[in-house]
Amino acid sequence: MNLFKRGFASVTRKAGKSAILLVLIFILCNIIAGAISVQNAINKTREVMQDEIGMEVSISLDTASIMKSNSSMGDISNIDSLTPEVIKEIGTSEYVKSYDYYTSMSLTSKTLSLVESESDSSTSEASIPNDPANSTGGSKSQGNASSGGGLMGVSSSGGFKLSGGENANVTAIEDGDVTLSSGSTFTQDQMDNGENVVLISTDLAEANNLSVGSTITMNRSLYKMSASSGTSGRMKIDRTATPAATLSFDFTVVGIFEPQSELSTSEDGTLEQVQSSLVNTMYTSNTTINLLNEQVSAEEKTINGENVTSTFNQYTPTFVLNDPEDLGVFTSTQKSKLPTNYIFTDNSDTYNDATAPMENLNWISGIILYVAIGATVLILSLLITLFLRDRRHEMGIYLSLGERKFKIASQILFEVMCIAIISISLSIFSGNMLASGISSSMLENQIVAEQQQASADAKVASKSFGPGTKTTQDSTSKLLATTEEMKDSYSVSLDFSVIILIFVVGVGTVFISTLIPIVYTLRLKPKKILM
Amino acid sequence: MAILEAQGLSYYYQDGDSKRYILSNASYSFEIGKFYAIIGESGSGKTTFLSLISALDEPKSGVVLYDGKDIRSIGYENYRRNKIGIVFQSYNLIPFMTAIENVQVAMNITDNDIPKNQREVASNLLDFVGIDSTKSGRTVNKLSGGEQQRVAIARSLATNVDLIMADEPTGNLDEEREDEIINVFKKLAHEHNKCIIIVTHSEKIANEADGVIKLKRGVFETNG
Repeated sequence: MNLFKRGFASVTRKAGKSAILLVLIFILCNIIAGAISVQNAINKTREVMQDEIGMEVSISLDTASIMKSNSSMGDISNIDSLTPEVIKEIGTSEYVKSYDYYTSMSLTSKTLSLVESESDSSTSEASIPNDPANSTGGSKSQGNASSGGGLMGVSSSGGFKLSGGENANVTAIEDGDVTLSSGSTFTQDQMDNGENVVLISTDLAEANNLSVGSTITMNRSLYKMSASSGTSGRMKIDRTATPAATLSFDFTVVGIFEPQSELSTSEDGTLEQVQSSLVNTMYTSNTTINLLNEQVSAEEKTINGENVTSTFNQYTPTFVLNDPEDLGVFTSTQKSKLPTNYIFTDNSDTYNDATAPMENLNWISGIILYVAIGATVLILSLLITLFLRDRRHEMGIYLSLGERKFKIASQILFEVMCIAIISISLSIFSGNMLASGISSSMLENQIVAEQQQASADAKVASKSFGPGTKTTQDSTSKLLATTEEMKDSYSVSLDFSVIILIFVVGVGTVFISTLIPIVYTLRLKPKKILM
Repeated sequence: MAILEAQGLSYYYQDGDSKRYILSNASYSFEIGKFYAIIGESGSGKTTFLSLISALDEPKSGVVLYDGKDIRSIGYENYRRNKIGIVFQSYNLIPFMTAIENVQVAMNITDNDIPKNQREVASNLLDFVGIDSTKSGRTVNKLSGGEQQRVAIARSLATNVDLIMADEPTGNLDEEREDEIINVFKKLAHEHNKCIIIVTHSEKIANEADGVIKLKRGVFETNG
């Protein structure tokens, strides 16, 4: 009868006590297994979401810093421009998976009709067509709008947005924001030579009877600028005057794309699919836009003289990182390459906002896990101590026979572990099932609350800032879409690593729970027990 | 030849500033092949003396020599495991195990050479003390008091030691069973050359013993 046989005999022949221990460990380990399963599911979903959303880093003007140094927005002509060379240099970083950079300009057309969504038609009266302020980059919203291939076009209510890029295959198509329904993307020659070729949306094509190979004419009106009153000496545009000149540009349609519909919330807070804001966007190359801007600048100088600040191209780059975890090291190593007054911005807020319900669940499951471990240690320690008190005599006999104390401790541990392994094995499956049901329901509730909050925020923004808050609406719809994706991705399932983790935590907890009673046993004196 | 020597053993409880002696300067030599009885009134220190020579407790002063070696140098645990066998008044068997398993437990714990056929040896030992094969497979709580004490004696023999100590081994038994147990001990001492030390109130055992040590208020009246 070595210690294992003794332990096994004790477990099997004292079935009542073994059953009590088995049930208790089973119940407690269900909570532990459930909490671990939830945390594992959250980690997996987090990885999926990180892959889905990706880590995109952009470069934008540090407006806060500029305002601080100039005490007002001041003259941005003094600010260094972000050149393609800098973008390319940063793009070669080992942390960058891919990169692209965009510029954009707004054009009107005398021959083409804008496609207007319901929301656009209700707001179009408030917008200012042909506003030259939209002619190039320069505002943060426009910079952001261009990131991700110009997903959030700002010109749907003000004209057509010409969105440039460096990727001949068009990043928006590669990212899945749009799908090519007919024609093709650009050739490298078209990109390099800055040919006037565009991709247009199916809605725009249908509204204007356009197809691949059609030629469209776009216009740009230029106004005479006059000196503003006051001491600043700045020039201002007289919007009421007739244009001093109107430039015309012909483009060939080489492809037609289908924008992916966006999710938005209706009045009652439910999700619905709405027409994308990309319908009035046309994709072309950066070179094309640069060449057009040069023509616009030359004409502006003709109209307003050499002292008028010429139009400059502001590029909005997007760097997709290999690993979202690399964000910190990427920005710190590349920061020195940025021109003055530029900073890195990233989309981690989108990820953080979208995963907020999941993080709440993660926090709750973490608390449950620690409480369950603490409760298990406490309850099991007490129960095993009580059981061992009943076995004092047996322990005294082993001690009187000269059994080594560590062997007695090992026997107790063996007995408890025999029962614990059965309990933990059973609880892995039942805990997983329980966790799946409860956590999915909790997550859904959290998501609904988050969506309602986001919708309410969007409505408040819309009421406060008027119908021009397209960016808020877009980011809200993106958030809602992402939370929906998260809900779909969330799944409590068992895999080898989870099973091992539950076993390690479960066995570790039971081990610690058994140590206290063992210490009690080892302090026993055989004489006091037996004589 | 003395297998065990108690030299000046003392044991007391601290009672405030004073010491309450249970055993005072007790010395005796025990020889192999003999059967000793330690007698005395209740509270005279008999069981304390047995607990000291069986290393279940530590003397406040004095030493216990086994085969000329201080048992502290042998190690108390080691001494109990490999040098002695102990039989208690209340048998102290493991209740959920069979008679044969109780004997095997001791065989497994000792470091002494034990034949590999442990079950057979255990069965023979039980047979030697009068537990036949029909009873050796029963859990011990289904055996009578006398039978349980025989199992306890068999267990003390299982480790193949020369020194057996027993604390009131017949205290819970009737006269007939007492005689049977006395015969077993006498046989072990005289036929199997063991040293048997028994703490008892029984005059009958004292009369059968080769040496009698009388304790009175913690002091030996007979020093060997």
